[in-house]
Amino acid sequence: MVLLTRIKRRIDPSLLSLLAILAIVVTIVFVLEGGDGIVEGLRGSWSLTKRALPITLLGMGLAGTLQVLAPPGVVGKYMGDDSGLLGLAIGMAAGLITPGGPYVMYPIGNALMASGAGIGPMAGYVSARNLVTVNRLVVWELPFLGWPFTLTRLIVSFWMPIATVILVPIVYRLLPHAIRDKAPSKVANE
Amino acid sequence: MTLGVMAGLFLTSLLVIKWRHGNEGVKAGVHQTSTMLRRIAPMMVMGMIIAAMASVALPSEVINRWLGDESGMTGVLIGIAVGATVPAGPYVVIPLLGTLMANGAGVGPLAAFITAWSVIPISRSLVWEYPFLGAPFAISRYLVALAFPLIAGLLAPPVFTLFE
Repeated sequence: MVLLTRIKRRIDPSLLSLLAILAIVVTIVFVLEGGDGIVEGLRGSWSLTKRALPITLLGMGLAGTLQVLAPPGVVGKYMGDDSGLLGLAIGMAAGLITPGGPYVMYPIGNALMASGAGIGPMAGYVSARNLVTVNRLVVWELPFLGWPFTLTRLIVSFWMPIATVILVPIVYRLLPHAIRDKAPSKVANE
Repeated sequence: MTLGVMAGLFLTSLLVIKWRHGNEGVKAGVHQTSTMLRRIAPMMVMGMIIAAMASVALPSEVINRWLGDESGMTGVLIGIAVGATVPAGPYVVIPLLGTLMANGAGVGPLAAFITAWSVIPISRSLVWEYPFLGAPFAISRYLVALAFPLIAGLLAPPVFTLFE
């Protein structure tokens, strides 16, 4: 059993799905455009990498330091169900600055929940993190999509985290007990 | 500019850690970063290759027809469907959207795509949100967010004209 879980942990599902997509895309390019297409694609990848690398490295450095400065176990205590507007604001602020991918945010979310965060503030955390996280805006959206589009996207989505923190607790209470009792167990926060 | 701001933030946070937690804190931060980097580096390289290859494989006419400004509701719905199912991080999705944009995709479909990928990602919800935050939370949040991508896709084009 131990061995099995170890193997499962080694193989990252997102890495596997990326490999599959990569294989498909490369095959399509080769069939359509031949070897020249592959060369053109690789050249394009190099220029994309050059553009994104410095800022991504800095972003990850910042991600590491932020986790030391604001450990989720401490922050979660201020995000309880009865914490009111302050809890919602802290949840959304934590989402805004949580960097990294799902392998960072969901373990942090689990630690927040384990230390007492309520459904509303958690909804604020997840939707702020997924919609308007500062890290993604600065590292990815602005350089690749330009400011007119980025600003447009912000304007059409700024209300979404707010709608989420109001509606998710309501929907949560409407769920049948059979589902609601399946609270998450504490997952080891590596 | 962005690079300068990020570098400033990074250095400031390092100094604050050094001041409040000493060398142990700095070490912990470096450890967090290197763990993340080891995990993300291979995915990032693959993401860049996928985005660039896709721009070679997808001719502009196809993008224009299905995701262009004229595609209307069809384009928005395609954006939502692809955004919700594509199992990839920003290192694939944002460069890919950039190449789609350069090849004629419209603002509505792109906004629908990015919003669906952000709030109703099927694979991320199954692999991460459900095990880490529990089924009741994941289900309630998913239900509430279902309509968001459509609203974003329909609102984005008129808003975008303000900045053109």
